[in-house]
Amino acid sequence: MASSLFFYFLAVVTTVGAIAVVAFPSPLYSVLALILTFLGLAGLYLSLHAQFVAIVQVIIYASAIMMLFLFVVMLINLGREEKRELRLPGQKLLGAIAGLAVFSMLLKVFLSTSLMTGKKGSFPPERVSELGNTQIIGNLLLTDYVLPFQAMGVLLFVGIVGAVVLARRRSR
Amino acid sequence: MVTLLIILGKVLVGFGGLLLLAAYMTWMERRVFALVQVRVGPNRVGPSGLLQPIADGIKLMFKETIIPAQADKVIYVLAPAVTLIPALAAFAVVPFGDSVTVLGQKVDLVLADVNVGILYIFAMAGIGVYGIVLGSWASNSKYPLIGGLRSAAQLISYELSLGMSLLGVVMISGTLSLKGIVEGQAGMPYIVLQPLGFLLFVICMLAETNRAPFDLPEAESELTGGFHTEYSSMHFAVYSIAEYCSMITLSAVGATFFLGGWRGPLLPPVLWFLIKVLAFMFFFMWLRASTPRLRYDQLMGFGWKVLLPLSIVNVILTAAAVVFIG
Repeated sequence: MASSLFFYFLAVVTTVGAIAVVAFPSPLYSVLALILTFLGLAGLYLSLHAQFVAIVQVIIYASAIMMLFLFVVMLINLGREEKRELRLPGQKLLGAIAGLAVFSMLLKVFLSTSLMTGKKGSFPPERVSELGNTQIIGNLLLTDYVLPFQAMGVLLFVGIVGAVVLARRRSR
Repeated sequence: MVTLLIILGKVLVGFGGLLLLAAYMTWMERRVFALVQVRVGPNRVGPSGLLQPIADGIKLMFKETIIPAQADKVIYVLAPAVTLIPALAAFAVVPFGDSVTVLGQKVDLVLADVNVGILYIFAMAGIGVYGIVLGSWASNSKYPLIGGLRSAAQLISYELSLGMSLLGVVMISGTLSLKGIVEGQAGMPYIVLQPLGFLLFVICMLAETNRAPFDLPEAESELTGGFHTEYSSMHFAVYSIAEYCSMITLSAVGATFFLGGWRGPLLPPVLWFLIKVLAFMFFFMWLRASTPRLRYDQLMGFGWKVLLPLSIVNVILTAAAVVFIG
């Protein structure tokens, strides 16, 4: 009972935050709404007993990345969003079609799986609490998922090198 | 029922103690400052000026709240609270004493023993920065804005090294829980095994709490007061209490990670914990009284080119030592 109430509360917070991101006219308020969404997501992870993922969500997304967003918004001093001159022809129609497509896809997923009971994975809650949340993620990252993990490292490295190259060229 | 009462008691004692300590830090700061500068300091209100924080509090409460006309009022009022709440919440995972027996029940003197404790503290510290940045933006004034931007950049830069400096201890003890880390130091405190980690932690701690010589977000000589220039009355007081609370929390983290937490001979554990925290706080004040402020580019260069590589070296060395020596 308590946990489902918790879920509904977080679900409302997350969804309202996400809608507010696009609805606010001021970019700074959008950033704040996105932070709220991320905090709601962290709460949802917490209710799924994924403490490590929840806290990392807060540290990386809700604080570090959103701080960069906020920094940029403050630095270039964005005011209220002006009426954009740049508009694609038929932008609204395309948006509606894309939205409908995603909605129907989600609807199909929900209709077909809502009544199914999930299969037990290799890490049920008992085992997780026995081995420790963080330890399991650490072990999996460096054993089963070592290739994607390394690939992410390469990707980030390329990103850093790219940033350095871009920054250097401009200063010359 | 008894469990509920005990939890309530712990919360009251923990947070009440933290707030009281934070209030008295203002007194200690002014006295230490006076000591360094061969002055007397506040000594009129109560014996040795001990009632000064209360007098200050009453004064601030009765001051008029001035909100700048051009300010974003909602964010302006909310921002100090956004700093204070995480600063208080972060303290919840710090064990401030051994377990005691109350009403026939064994009570651990920690508000919440979370298994990702230290990450939780970082998460709260990260959220707390928003209070500073938003407050500076909402004031709609140039000096606070510059202070806020500096604060955001500084915290992103130093948070990395701060986290990495603690990683060595986490690797040795094999747990993220602060209670577990104190248990791991029964033999000797980790400062013996992690001298470089301790040094890096202390430097980053100063930068994280905006203290001299890293107090650029509020550099009064160039920014008149930085992010809280436009704040007055209780809003200002909340900012300053939040600042002291986060200093105390980080001091407590330092004491827990490197100095053995509440462990110590003869004296009761809570007292030992307090002594270690106060030693850190004294260091903060001593440093503020005796060091000049860094230039902004020096601050950034130091963070990225010296501290970060050193903390990576520390992590690699510790990892090698843990694997090969055991």
